[in-house]
Amino acid sequence: MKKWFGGILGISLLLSACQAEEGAPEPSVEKQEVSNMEASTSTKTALTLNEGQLNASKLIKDERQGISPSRLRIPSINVDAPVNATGLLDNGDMDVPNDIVSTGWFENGYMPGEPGNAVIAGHVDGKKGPAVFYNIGKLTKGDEIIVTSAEGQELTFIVEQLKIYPFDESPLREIFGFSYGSHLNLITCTGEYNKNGSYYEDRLVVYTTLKTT
Amino acid sequence: MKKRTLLAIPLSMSLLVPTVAFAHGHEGKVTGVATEMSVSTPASELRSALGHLFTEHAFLAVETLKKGADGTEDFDALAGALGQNTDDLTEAVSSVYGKEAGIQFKEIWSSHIGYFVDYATATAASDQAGKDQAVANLEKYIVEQAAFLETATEGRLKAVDLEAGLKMHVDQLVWAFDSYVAGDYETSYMNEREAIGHMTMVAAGLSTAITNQFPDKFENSLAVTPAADLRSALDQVFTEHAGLAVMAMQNGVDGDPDFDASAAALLANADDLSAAVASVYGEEGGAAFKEIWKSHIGYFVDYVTATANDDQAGKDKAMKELDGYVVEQAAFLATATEDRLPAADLEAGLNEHVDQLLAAFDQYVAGDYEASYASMREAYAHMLMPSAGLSQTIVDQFPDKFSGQSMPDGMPKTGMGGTAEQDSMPYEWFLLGGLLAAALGGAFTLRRRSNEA
Repeated sequence: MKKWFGGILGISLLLSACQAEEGAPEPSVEKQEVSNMEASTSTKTALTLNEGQLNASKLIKDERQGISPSRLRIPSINVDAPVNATGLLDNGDMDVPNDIVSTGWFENGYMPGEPGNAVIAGHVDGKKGPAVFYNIGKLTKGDEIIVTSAEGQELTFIVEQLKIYPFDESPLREIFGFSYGSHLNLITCTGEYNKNGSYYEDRLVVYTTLKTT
Repeated sequence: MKKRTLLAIPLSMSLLVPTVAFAHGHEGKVTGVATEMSVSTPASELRSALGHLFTEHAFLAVETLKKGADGTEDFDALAGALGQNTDDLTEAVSSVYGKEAGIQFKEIWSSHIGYFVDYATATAASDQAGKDQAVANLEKYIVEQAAFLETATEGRLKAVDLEAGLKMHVDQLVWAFDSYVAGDYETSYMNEREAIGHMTMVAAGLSTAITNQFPDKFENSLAVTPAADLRSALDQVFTEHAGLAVMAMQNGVDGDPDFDASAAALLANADDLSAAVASVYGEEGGAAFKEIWKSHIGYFVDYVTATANDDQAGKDKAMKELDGYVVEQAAFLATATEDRLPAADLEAGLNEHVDQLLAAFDQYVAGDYEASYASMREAYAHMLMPSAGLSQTIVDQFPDKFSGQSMPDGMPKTGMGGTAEQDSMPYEWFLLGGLLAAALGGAFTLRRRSNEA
């Protein structure tokens, strides 16, 4: 489900969009003013409310906008993979792609590029061999990660740090939550493989930050 | 019918960090439907309180600088209000990080206000070197303030993000001031509004970092949820309304050249509020709201006009019209919210709003600037009540629109063990090897060569 009031940027965009569509209907304020002006013709001050839109010669504002990612490239480890939107499993965990060559963007959370932590997960391996994120543990600070939308918008993120957590002790709020900065966090499995439970004990998170020009 | 929080007393700063954490059985889950559907969790209260003070800071700072440039009589009183805002922020910081950190915060935070004033003073004196020095000091401030917050939040707020945010704040304030001095009032007011809006995101970021740092103290609640986002958005437009209204009334009675632009900014704020109403109650509802809401702005302008003309009958008439407005506005909101917000409570809240704005204006006209700006701060804070009440009502009325879970309860399962069985060595080992051979690219290459060696 698309978030209705998704983030602060969301509402301000919504607001300005609605504003732009308005056909400037004249409210009762104007009528009020007319009668007021008539009443005060003999005096000096007669204030009126001007309905005109404001125009700025320059507006300093946060221009960051998120994109819906469809392709992920990590040149330093030769990754070039499709990105599919993923959500939640029935148990509330983040879902993953069904195959080992594509990656999954957590669409319930943040979009890459907007303020907040966007997340893309990929398998470290399949049943028989390595998968798309097999090498992300090799990434080092400064490496570039490039995401592209289906419409061709491109954003570059810079690797800040790598961290490994036990799968059930990962700081979910910091990996998936809001932040003023625009971050993209990559997740894959690492650590011991628990054969009985068919899962890896740990998770590797690659933290990255939007590159600004 | 449950009585809503419209008239509730806002949390005092000392309550920012709740001392009693209710032992909800969250079972390690960070989200839960019950928490998400409330606009007043401990975390969202913190966010709202910080949003209040940060947005008010931006508003007061721009207005103080403009008064400084004009050398008006009320400058000291307004600067005093800005100082009180700093004290409130300091108290909030102290309640989270302790008294010593609060003192340190106040010193750094106050320094940037001082540099802004230096900038305004240098501008008034056409002193380019002084302006350059103030800008250089502001740049140093940005680094210092970012480092303080990164340390306080133990790296949850990144200095690089903070510096970008603080730079935008400084740039917006300086530009709003510069364009005011240049007589480009429209640009000035639009950038002032941007500066106010920008602070809501700063509040979201800081409250997220604090609640992540002390999750137990905030009952594991989240500062950013769809419901909290709605409240924050309404906080911003409602409080900004009060601030802009006071300034437009002052400009009106003083016959200032920026009256038109300031009134237009106030109406642009009304448009934003109406658009928010329309997004919930439909276009027709939004249009009806807008007409009623704008009528009260018109009556205030009537009051200002009558005051300027020393026309007591005109003032009485405007006040009577405001009384009528209160009833009409309350009836509209009671109907829209299906009486979740009772008309009687709404009328009481709206009467308070009207009284506070009239007081701020009358005191200004009488030259009692300190009282006037105290009334203004009160009016600004008061708007958080309708915001909290209305946002919770909207969430209750349309729960489906706010129930989205934006954070998973657990990490994804991103491995099937294929490589673990193959070589049965811990991934960390591979990590080390991988770092050494990063240039070789690809795990297979690495393995083959290792075997050959």
